[in-house]
Amino acid sequence: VIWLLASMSLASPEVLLETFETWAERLPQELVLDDVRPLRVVINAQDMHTYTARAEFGTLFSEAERHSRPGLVEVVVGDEQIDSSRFRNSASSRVGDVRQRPKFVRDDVRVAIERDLWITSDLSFKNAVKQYQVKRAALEQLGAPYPPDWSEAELADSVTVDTTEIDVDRLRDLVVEASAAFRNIDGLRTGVAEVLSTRGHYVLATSEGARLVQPERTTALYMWADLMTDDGLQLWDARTWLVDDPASLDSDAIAAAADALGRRVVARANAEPVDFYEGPVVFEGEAATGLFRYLAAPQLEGTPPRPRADRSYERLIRSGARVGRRLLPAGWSVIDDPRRFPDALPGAYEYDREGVAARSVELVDDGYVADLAMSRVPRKDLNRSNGHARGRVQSRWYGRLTHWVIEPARTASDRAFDKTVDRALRESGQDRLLVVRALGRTKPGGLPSPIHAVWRSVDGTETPVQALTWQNADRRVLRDIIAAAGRQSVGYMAPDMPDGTTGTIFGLPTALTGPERILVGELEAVFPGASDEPHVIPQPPLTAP
Amino acid sequence: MLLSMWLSIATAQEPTDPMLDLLAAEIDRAMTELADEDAPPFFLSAEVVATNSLVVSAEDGALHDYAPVQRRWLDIDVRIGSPELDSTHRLRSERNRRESTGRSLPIGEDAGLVRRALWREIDERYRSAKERWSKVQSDDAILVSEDAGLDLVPVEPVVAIHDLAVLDIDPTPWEDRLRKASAVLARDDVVRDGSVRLSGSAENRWFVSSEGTRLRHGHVEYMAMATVDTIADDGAEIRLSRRWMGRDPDVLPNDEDLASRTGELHDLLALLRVAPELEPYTGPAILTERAAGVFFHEVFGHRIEGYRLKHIDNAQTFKSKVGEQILPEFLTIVDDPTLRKHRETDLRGHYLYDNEGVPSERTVVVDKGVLKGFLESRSTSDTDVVSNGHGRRQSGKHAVTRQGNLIVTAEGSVSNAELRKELLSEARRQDLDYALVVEDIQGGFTNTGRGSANSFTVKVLVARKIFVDGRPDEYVRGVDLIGTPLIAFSRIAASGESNEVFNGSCGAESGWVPISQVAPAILLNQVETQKKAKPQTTPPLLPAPMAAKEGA
Repeated sequence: VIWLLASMSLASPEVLLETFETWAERLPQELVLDDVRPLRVVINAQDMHTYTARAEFGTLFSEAERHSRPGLVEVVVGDEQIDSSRFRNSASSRVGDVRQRPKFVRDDVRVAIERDLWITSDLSFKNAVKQYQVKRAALEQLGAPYPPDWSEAELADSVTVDTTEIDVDRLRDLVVEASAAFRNIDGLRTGVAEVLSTRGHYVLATSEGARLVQPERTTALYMWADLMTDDGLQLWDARTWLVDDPASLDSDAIAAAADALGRRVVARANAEPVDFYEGPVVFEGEAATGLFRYLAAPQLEGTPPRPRADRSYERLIRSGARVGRRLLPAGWSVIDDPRRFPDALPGAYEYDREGVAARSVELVDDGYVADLAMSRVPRKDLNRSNGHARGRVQSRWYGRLTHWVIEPARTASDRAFDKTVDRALRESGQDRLLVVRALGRTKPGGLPSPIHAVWRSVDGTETPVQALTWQNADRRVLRDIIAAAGRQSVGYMAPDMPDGTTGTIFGLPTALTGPERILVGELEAVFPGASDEPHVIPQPPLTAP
Repeated sequence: MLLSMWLSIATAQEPTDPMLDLLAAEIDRAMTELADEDAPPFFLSAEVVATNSLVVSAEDGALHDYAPVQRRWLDIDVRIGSPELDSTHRLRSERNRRESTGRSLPIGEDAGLVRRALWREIDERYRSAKERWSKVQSDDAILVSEDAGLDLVPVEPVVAIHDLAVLDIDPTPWEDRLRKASAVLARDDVVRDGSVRLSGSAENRWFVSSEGTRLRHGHVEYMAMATVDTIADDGAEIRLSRRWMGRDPDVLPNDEDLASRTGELHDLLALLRVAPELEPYTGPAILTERAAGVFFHEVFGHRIEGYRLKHIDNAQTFKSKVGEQILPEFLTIVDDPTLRKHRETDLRGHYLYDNEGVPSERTVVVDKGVLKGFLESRSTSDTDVVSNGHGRRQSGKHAVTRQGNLIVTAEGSVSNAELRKELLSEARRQDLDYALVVEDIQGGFTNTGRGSANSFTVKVLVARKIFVDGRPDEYVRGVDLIGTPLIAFSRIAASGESNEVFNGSCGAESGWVPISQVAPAILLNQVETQKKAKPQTTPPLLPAPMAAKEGA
């Protein structure tokens, strides 16, 4: 029995905002503990309608639809230099969470929302008082110079309401139809399409005067297929679509892409394994984006780590992003502007999670890091937010990229690019070129193995690459970019946390506009070998016995 | 072809079922394919559990979000070796087999896709069993074995197809019912956190083994629950709940009943919040019916689960005491999962077949105080016993022996008023000012291993002091019952004539399983209590937001 729920349409976010405003204003006046009062109060919630569905080989596997209101309440104590907001206790020091995470009721009943605020603000405040004492003692003991915890900013006073709703039936049909394309391809072990669609509002009120209701909506469709070869090699391929409006998803084009993706995986199973390659590599399409999103993004996100009780702050920050670092070839530049996304891509915003107006930032100038995406947590060298605080509502927020635009020193014509590639190939002594069109997933900072790549011979014929993994590929690869051609905008889900694994349908919607083809002078790749024992029992067909 | 179509055909004609056919075909194929392997399996079973559930909850007069959940889960058991010693045998190096297994199946109807998932899981479990089998053989070769019993005792294959369980409740009228009942919680500052909720679940199981067992059975459960929680001035957390539970939505309360009972819970919480904390106490106590049920489940029941008695690191409290008097003569204890109800109350611990496909059986454990035997799964406690249908698990875990409906009966019982008189006499005899009555409990836990004290804790929710000088009874809080099993049993002095059902869930090695206890109130001439742990959180600094009073 499946019930139809009474209504999934969202209630008005205004009752939430009014209640949050009242409490953000009254808490600093009324909460007192041993003469300590709150320095500031942050209250927010995401008032969201969410639909997820997963289909496999044309059959619905799972689906869920809900209206939820996850929120965050943080009462901060301290002063302008050091406050209770950011600190990692040692394992032996027990301080409750200073960031409380209520799940607000679905109904707009003010007393019910207030009773959640009553308890969560009380716990947050008491934990903050304790954490502040522990943090001060720890930092004094370490004797480390430490920038302030917080910076001044102009804050939002904006209410925008979006009433569009999710077309659940269409999305369900879409994943079922997309995954059905895999069914006709012999040899696949898995063929999945999954979708996440969210519609709703971010609601924020702070004691500093931020007052914000901002629409948020994203639809992400992720499709993947895999198989295991007789010798235990697991091969897979995947593709993501990210859109602002699910109506723009073309089901025929998606089904065709699924078919092509599935056939590529099967073709790889029969491809010749290659032990080793060292030479020029061309990254095309999504892979060209991937090169930057994995290797460059972590170098451009500037929120410093939380201080810790057991480690000097200098030690904590020395390996992070740094202004002045050479990141890209000379003449290259990068800007990030959260307000303007390419058509159809979701994620643009006027105000960030902290209620700071987003602004365009020139992150890379002439190949060198010139600025960083910042939240209100300052660094020694950058002491102001530029409106890039992002993250899940109930998680920590960091300065993150949103829509970044990469401008090469020179964009070559396709013909000039190909000539440069030919020359690089000749100089390397290789008789065929590695062309990568899609990368797998990994944590930012590393370069994922190719999931879609071909060997291109001198005569232009292409044969599939079965499997390769990179050796010693880190951000320095970017300095070895020889040429760039074309231009594209690609949307992707960045991990919620800067050090998290890249998501499929979950994460922060992000867009990158940059070259469509990139030539890297030299990379080393090796055959990864089997990842698991091969199946013992033969795979059955997708038909009833 | 649609699965639902197959099912309707199945119920109308001869006993067959497409899911059972599918499981049987894939098991046959796997057994054939693996027959030529170096280490072929001698047993393979598959269990599919389809769950259709719903939870609707409200707090302070407002509804939380909710959504129905549909899921299907597949568990596979592949065994290499022989019934005497197989690849599931517990390794000395592992404390318990806690690894989770299994995989989701699609909610859509697609036999080919289900078959594909079956293949993946059987293949994976076989490879895992093969690796484990080499470790079991190694243990067996080099370590002294004290284990007794078989790893997979033979059973007669069973074929049975029961009607599918269907969840039949419309949550829409419940939205207002829950809003109204939960509004009580916002009327003052007593309740810090609380909710009122409705849940319903229909669970259907399909089980097939390579031995020929083919089963389809299911059950449905509905529950309404009010939960309230507060912090006393000394930082103690107090939590109370009230449940209505059964297989028919008729067991659920109406608007008025739900609201008034939630109000009663609120009022009791207000009383307990200001009640004194009980100092550590030794002396006589009555455990009322529900409390006695939990006492027997924790202190006695876990020690007669045969699986535990196999292992050298278990204290094996009763292993050598079959035929001996271990409880007072007036007590008889059976575990009877075949019982659906006790009087008018549905029993949660009822099931027709256990998770190893064995029909459940009424098992007499203690007869007139004499130990008769143990609860057994297919991994038995000794070589001369068989399974009595107590192999249970939560999806994704390995089945071990667990309790179902533990029923304690007493002969020569007295009325509860008489029991109270005996309690006061015992208190006077021990020269005490008061004795203790434990009225309600939250649950408990026990340790049955050898590594630390073989003790138990019964977590008390509501208790009263009964004064020998006739003063009015006084609620106390912050108390847990503690002790060790053999001494505790020796202190049982009398029992009351009425009994009650405690329906709950028990968590152990094989996950959470529904259980019931039925027991009379018992008088123990000595118990020991300790203070309950408390988080030391101070009450909120600000006054509670409250709902406007009607008419104000």
